[in-house]
Amino acid sequence: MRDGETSAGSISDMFDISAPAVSRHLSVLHKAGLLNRTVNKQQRLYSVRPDAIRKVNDWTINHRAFWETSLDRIEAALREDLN
Amino acid sequence: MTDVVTLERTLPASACRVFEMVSQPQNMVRWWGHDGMIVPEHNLDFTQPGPWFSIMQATDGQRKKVSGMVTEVDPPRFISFTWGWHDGEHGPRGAETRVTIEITGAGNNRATMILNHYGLSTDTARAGHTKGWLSICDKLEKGLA
Repeated sequence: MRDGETSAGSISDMFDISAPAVSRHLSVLHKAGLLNRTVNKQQRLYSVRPDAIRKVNDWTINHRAFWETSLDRIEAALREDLN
Repeated sequence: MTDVVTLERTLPASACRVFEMVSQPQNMVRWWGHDGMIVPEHNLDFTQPGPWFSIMQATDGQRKKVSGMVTEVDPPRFISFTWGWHDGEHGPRGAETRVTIEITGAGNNRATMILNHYGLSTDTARAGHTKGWLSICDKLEKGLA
């Protein structure tokens, strides 16, 4: 799906849950703007929207990095106050 | 399954001074926020229990809100607060996680700060979430190979 359009059927083959369940998940991801969907005859084809996935990554933030940065700033501010 | 991120740092100030830096509004604005983000709106004050929020804005202008409740403050040694991202600036709040900060004097005008961020793998959380997305992509890719 990352490399291009993939049918709902072949996606559902990869998971142990039922095809309708996978279809619902894909539909939610599509509505959320994370997947593109095109319809080809009877098939629904999905592909990843890399920009959207990147945003998800950006915002489901690396909390360790967040707090590391914060601690760096705390340390810098404490040093600044010493001077 | 939950997970915790733990950071420990020895800082060049007394426990009292570190506590002031970490908790007081005028000091919190000096350090709060992710790298490259600004904090255009907030009510940060960890000196007493109560609700808090902050809007964080990335360089591309995208804004995200994180909020929670300061649940326990024991100056100058302990602060505990909850933490949850919102879906966009005005959207519903996601899974709640919890942060504790412990400050211990280390003598010689130094103090050790230990920060724990608990419950991170429950939903909207930490780096693992990024890994989660990548592993989903990997799985899909493998399935397609």
